[in-house]
Amino acid sequence: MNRKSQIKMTETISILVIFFVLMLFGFMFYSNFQKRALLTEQQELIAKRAVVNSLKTTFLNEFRCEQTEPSGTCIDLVKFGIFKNNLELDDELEAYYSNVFSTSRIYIVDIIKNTTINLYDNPRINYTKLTSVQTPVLLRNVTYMLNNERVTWDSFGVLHVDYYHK
Amino acid sequence: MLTITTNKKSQMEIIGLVIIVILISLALLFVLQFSLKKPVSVKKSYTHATVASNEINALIKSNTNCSGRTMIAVSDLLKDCALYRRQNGYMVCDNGMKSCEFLDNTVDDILDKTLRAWGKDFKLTAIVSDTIVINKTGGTAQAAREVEMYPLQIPGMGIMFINLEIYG
Repeated sequence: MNRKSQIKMTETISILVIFFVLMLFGFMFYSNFQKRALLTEQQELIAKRAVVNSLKTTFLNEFRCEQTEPSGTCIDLVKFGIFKNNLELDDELEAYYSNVFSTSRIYIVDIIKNTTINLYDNPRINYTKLTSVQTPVLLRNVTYMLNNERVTWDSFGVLHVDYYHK
Repeated sequence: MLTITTNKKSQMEIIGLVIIVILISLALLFVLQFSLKKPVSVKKSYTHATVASNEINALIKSNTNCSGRTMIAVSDLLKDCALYRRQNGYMVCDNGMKSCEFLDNTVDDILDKTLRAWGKDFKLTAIVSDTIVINKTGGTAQAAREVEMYPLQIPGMGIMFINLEIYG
């Protein structure tokens, strides 16, 4: 009788031990899974921020082409140049656009002419990574000849928005 | 009798344990299926949609270095190449290349510096009345894709459909 109850007890204890071991494995697996999920979510948030910065820049009215082109597809280079100069000379304006552009670097590359124009560069202190978003755009350069004739040169360009982060 | 009952009891217990193990395995498989499935990233869905439409819009309207005297856009080269496909184009650029060859080089140059450099899988075609003017690919075609289409009127031939498909 004693032996029978001892065997029964041993059986119950071993089941409990196995149960707790399984629980431990399950918990380890779950915490690992959660850690990876949090990392993925963090990367997604950073990518989302980079995309938001890029969208803000692409749709800015400050250097948008005339209404003939869909919004976000064309950059007027003359307006872009004026905006860039104003940004460099006016500290208040720079401070305002620092809130808009955040810690990023914005520049356009003319693929046909192979030239680069930098607009804004505000790196984050001790940044370790850069998330880039590239958007193809039409670069429009409008000039006026001596006889007041309007000449438009459209070029294939790429708007780069590089977001600095840790 | 007692032995038979005892045997049946242990067998029943084992069956119970097996059922529990099967249920736990099914639950684990279910969890793994969801954890391994990659959600579409925000950046990817934005870039595919925006890049496709902007790329084709900028490409067609962009001026080229074909001639230093007159402005010749990619759309002009497309029209000339489509109309005079058999002769490789009627227009001759400053570097001696005919419109079809110059167009091919320009499009390749742009694609090399954009979609191919960014590692995008794509297919770019320009077709009018069964005449293929542009047929460029990069990477491998996949089921999931973003398609943008730009129509271009070619006098005497109809409408040229310029399609850009970005995969992934």
